[in-house]
Amino acid sequence: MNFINSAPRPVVGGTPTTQASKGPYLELSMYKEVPTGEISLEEFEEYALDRLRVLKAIEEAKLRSKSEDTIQADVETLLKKHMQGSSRQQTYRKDVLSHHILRLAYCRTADLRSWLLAQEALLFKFRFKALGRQQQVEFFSSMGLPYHAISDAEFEELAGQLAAVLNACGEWDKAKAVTSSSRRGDTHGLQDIGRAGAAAAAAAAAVASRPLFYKVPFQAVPDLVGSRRVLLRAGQAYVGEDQVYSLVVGAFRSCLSASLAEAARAWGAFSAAEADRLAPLVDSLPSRSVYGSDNRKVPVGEISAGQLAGLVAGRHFPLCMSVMYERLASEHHLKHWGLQQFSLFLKSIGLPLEQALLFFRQQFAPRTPGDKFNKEYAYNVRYNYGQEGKRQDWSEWSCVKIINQEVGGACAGAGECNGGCPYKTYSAEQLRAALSRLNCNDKVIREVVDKARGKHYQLACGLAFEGITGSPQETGINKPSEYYASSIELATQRAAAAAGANGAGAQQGQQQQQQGQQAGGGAVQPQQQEGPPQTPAGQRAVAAGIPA
Amino acid sequence: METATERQDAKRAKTEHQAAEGAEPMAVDDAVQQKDAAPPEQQQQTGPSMRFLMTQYYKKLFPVQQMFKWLCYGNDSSHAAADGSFSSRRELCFTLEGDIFVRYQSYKSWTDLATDLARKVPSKIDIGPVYTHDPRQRAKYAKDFKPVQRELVIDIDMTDYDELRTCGSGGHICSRCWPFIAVAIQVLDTALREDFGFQHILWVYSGRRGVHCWVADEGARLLADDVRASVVGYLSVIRGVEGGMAKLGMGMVKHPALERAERLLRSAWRQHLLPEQCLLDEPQHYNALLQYIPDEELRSSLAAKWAKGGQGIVPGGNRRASAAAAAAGDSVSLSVRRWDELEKAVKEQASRLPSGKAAKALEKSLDDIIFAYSYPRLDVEVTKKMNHLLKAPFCVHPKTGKVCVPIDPEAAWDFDPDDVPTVQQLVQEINEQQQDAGASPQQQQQAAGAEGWRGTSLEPYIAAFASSFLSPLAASSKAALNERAQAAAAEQRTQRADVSW
Repeated sequence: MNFINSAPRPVVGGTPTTQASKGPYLELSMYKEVPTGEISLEEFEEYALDRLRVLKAIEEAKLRSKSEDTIQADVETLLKKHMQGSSRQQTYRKDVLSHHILRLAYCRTADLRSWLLAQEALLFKFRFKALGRQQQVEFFSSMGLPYHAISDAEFEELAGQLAAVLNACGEWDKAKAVTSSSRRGDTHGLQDIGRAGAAAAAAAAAVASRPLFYKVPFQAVPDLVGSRRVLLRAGQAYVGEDQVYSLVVGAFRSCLSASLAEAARAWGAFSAAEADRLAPLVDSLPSRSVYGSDNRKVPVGEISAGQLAGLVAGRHFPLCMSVMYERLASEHHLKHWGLQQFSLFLKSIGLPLEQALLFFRQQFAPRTPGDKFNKEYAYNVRYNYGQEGKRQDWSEWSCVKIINQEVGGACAGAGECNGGCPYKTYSAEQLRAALSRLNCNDKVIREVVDKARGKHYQLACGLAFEGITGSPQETGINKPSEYYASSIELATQRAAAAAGANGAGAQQGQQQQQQGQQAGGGAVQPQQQEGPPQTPAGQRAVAAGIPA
Repeated sequence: METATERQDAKRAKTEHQAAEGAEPMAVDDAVQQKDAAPPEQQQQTGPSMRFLMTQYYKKLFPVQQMFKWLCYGNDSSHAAADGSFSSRRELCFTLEGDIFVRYQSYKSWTDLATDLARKVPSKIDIGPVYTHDPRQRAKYAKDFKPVQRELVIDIDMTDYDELRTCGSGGHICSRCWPFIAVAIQVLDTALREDFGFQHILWVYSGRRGVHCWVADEGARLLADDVRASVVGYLSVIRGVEGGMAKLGMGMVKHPALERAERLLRSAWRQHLLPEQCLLDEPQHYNALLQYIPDEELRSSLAAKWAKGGQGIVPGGNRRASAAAAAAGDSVSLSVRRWDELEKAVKEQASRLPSGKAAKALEKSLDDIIFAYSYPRLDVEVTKKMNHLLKAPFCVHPKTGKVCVPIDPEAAWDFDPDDVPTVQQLVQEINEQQQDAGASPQQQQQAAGAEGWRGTSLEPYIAAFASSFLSPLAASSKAALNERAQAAAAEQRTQRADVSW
């Protein structure tokens, strides 16, 4: 079990950081050594998924532009919840093993590698920042990076400018510390903190006397340069001691990046050797949902073709499906892949075959006579329900499949005819228009468009859920039916709450009232309709939820 | 047959290229140009055809040898450490007639390039990165084919100043809006040299309505994309424009780099921008500027006062008058006078405020105005990616016929975009040289063939390119090669020592 000993170890000589065992984060590791030992298959899978939960939560927090401090606190909670073992050693073991498993799982394409690299670097950063000042200096020293603290003479010369940078960052106290120690002009011979060992101890002593600054090439700290949080002179950045995380994370990143590239090269041999055992498991990890399956079930029970319009009007369909519905209603046609995507979705939310055939026949009718429909399209619908061809019970398309769906050049403008994910295929303009038709909150629309532009289509969809329903979608959306399920669940809850309040819901938000009304069979009288004009169908299908 | 495939390839490449780079600046450029087709273009159509002019240009005027030498960084020499494959790994992209992009061109020698230019006569040449392999064989290397180095480039486009400038918009550029560019060059050049320590910096006028900066230090060429983005972040202050107001990414206290910028901006503000742009002469312009003052009362009282003072002056008439007055130096232009009034009013008002914080915020609004109006506005996407294409220096701008010529950053204020030689003018100069019976045989020879640019109005630009950019660069490329050779020799020695053990 030699991974227990592979605690952060100085790369270039020096003393092992036994100090670290005093702190709460002895486990912070550069993961340089590959762990050996035994692990059960269950543990293998569980460790990997637990780590993914942490990484995905950090990613989402970051994408939601939460503040650094909030994420810092989140990370602490997440680690406690998902990564804590029964003992310190267990925790460390889980950390190291799960990291290496994910390294293997995410090594195979450039996209996967860069995702893992970004998230692991973030996690590492937050964990490093959680260390005490003393431990940070020690960890930094132990890495043997070739960076030197500036001499007293240089410090004296630059003190004014260093303080100016700190002031510009709003770090008034630190700026004061710089100016006051410059005036005091005390001396100590510490110039080379980079060499570990004795230097680390000296550094620890020196920390008390004046703020330390390291002189590093600006390329080593792009985040600090990009936000003007360092002084730059002739290509050298002056990094304050509380900014060394940037250097440490930079070193961690390049180390991990190299390891991932190496893992990618080794993947062939691994997958051949483990073809029957680990390879399929590892292979599937990146596409696994890390959320429990219990809270995202599609409501049971059948729905009828007649209810569909109401569900659309009640804004329970994700954007991809609601635009497809509108397209179908106005054009009376869908292209092959659009029909596939839409009919499998309808199937997954409980529309039985005969109802599906009825629905599509009706919708296609103005352009496609019944017998032509039966000849050309009915087969596909029956096929989707496992009644034709190889009679497989096909499941709905996942978001990943929909996003990767080729909607074709000619169709892209009117994307919905061939399916696909509108957050990807729509222009910002179209997206704004489509979302405001769904009465999505304006502020959220802006965020959604940003996310879509950043290619975070599923997150955009989740945000749109929040903007449309007024309640956050916590679990993520991996299939269109999950959007639908969350929306129905919310509506049902609100209907119940509204029924409980029995019309006295004066404190409830307007949106809630609308929702409650649509889902709960009009238990609350709407005071006004501000949303999209209600279609007669929408009013008919007030019981948009689960039919008995 | 070959051409047909090439063209198809080219079309596909263009789509790829645009998808990869987002809005390709020059493509947007073209689209805009077509809409507000400027009269000079039509004039060009009446002379010799553009195709003819460009053929002459590439044969006789384009400094192909100097350009190639630059892009080789000493690797074309017989130096022991020179990398012979270097130049053939550099992508050039040609735009042929009809906006056909031919990407992934590469050349082993300057003569190959010269021959191909004479044959293909591209209306535009873009410079891309140096890749791991010859870009012509990229299919063979598939995944391993990636960019490894490329100059750090900066693009400033006058259209980003459209909501500020009072003399024109879109493709327009003139000596009155040049101060925006000149001060941008000053600020950025200083930061690149003092803060980042770069030395080999080339500024060029793009030929139409902007300038490009090429940083050719080896350290700059090797920067990873995330570091390029961080350089952009460091150099940018304006984070976008909302409701006619620039959003500024700076707080009450300024980073030393911005303090230094402020000194440069302030002197340019009173000396050039205010008098030449007449930013406070007319209501639409001074009202836009006054938006930055947070004190409502102050804003309206100044606007009212200026509205009275401005009455009776013919719009446009006062502009010329005040610019002339400023140029003559005998009186202060209207905009400068008004700025002084504004500054005084703000300071007085600030001194009356009970809270020091509010007073500071009010005074900061003056800085905000100066930064919003004159701090360099970068086209950031161009800088961020190693594989973004940028138009080569000494190209002819397809729309204006102007040559993309170097600008001396020290003399940026004296540069006049209207004085830049055009291809029409240069070809005429050559013809005159040839016809001139009194010309020496040497001159005639030059005019007929290589280095025909000598004696034309392009010569001073090429000479400046060679003396202030190429030769210092050649010296440091050579030093770098020497260093590499020494390192390699040391390596070999250690290996031999190992063997003898």
